[in-house]
Amino acid sequence: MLAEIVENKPINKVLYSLWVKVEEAYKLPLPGQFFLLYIDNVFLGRPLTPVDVSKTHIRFIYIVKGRGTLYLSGLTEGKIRIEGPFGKGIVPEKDKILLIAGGVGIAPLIYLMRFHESKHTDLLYGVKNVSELLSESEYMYYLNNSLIITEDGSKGKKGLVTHYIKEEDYDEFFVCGPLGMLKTIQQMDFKKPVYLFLEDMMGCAQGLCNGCAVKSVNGGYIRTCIKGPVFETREIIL
Amino acid sequence: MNEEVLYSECCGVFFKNPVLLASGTFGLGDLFPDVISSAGGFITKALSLNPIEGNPPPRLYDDRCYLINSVGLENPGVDYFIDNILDKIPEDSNLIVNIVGKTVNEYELVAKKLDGIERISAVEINLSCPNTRREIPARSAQLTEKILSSVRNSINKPIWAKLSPNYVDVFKITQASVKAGADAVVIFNTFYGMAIDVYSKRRILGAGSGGVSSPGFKPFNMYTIYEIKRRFDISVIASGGVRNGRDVLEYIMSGASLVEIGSINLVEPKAVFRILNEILELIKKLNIKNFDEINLED
Repeated sequence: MLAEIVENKPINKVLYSLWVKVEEAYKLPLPGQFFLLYIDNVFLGRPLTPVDVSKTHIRFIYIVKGRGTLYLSGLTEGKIRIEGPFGKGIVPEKDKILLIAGGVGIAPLIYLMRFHESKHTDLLYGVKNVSELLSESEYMYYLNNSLIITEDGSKGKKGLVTHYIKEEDYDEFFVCGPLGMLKTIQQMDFKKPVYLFLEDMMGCAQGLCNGCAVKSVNGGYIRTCIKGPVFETREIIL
Repeated sequence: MNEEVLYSECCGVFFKNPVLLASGTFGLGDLFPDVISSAGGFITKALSLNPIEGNPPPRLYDDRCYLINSVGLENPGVDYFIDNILDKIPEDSNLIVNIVGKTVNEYELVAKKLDGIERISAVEINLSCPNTRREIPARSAQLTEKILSSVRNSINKPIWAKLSPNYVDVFKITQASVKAGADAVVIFNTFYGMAIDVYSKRRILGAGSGGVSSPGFKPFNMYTIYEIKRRFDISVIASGGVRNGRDVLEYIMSGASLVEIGSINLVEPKAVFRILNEILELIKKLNIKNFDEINLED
């Protein structure tokens, strides 16, 4: 489907906010599901998870990572082809959940918060330094408690998010962030459900091309696009 | 799509149109039945005797004008395909099964398992996957002939040899294919390639390298097809860089009997509908009544 770029601007040193208006009816995504954005200077669609959606608008928060997102960050108007939502989403089921976000990994977790609004949701949000933080006004509405952690101590607690997780306080965990962070959390071997939101290059995103792959605990690879991108930590080997 | 003007033929097999879904770009055939039904034929992902795990991620890298894939022949094995997938593939277009082996004997064993299945129109022999550590068979005329002869002597279905553009004298390989009794050659599989991240100073793809597909290779493929048709009496199937109906017609005019569409399926899984419509529009403009008339002027 085609979408009109309504707004696309940097919101801090590393994060960009993109609002698009879609021109036809589309299926509203579940948390963790993603859209492919087709950008002129790369061949494949770039997968982004929404932060906010309505019947007519989708908002993404993204970082510039390569040629595709660099080009995207320069677009301020015009139309863009968007397909999706793809993948399997997840809705929190338990009463007390902890969201663990690293960097831009906050984006899908903000979208997830609204699906748990009536229950208890806490957030651990880690970034390298204060200049990379998303404003609290973007997410506080849905939360009970949040803790900001910066690697250099420029705001909130100093260190890594993985130092501040209290397993005993929660029933379920939702984690999105850099691979190193996901690996560390996987190694912590919690007894309760831990859902990891993965990032991968996507081809068709529909299970045709086997271009995205993550190692399964049952041997071999599974397709991130249709079996994920959200996996319970015991399903995969990172 | 069933328009008489698009009716095509290759190796004695009828195709309702000349557009095929290339191996590896449309899975095993159990998804998007409407697309498979509309194509002239569907070619499965390469199937091997035993399951293959495939390459570590990342498996994809792209730029504006090319795609590198490094899937590494991941597949559940030919028996799984026969037992669990075959019945789910729509029957109203031709089914071509792409096969691969670690040894000559494996190619033969896989081919034999398929020969008795009536609805398979042809077997495409993958001699050219650039995504494994093994040497590409289609770089050696001797190995090409050995594999193709072995399959030829054990099955009756038409066999298509999918050849490689990588560091090879393709005319020698085509000659070997003709000698071994292949019914057609497929020009081409992907080119060797790799991608580098200058910041980490590392190769990006999990396997280090992969196969490059690009519209930029189309002129090379067209010239190769033209020369093969000039020098040999063998059917040719084109594959590489097709984005639209005009590309298909250019390949047909170069001498191809059928044309595979590949990478475009990844970004536009329903591309075949658009491409067929574009072909119809073009041949209407050209006043072509059937595909046999499409010949290059001297």
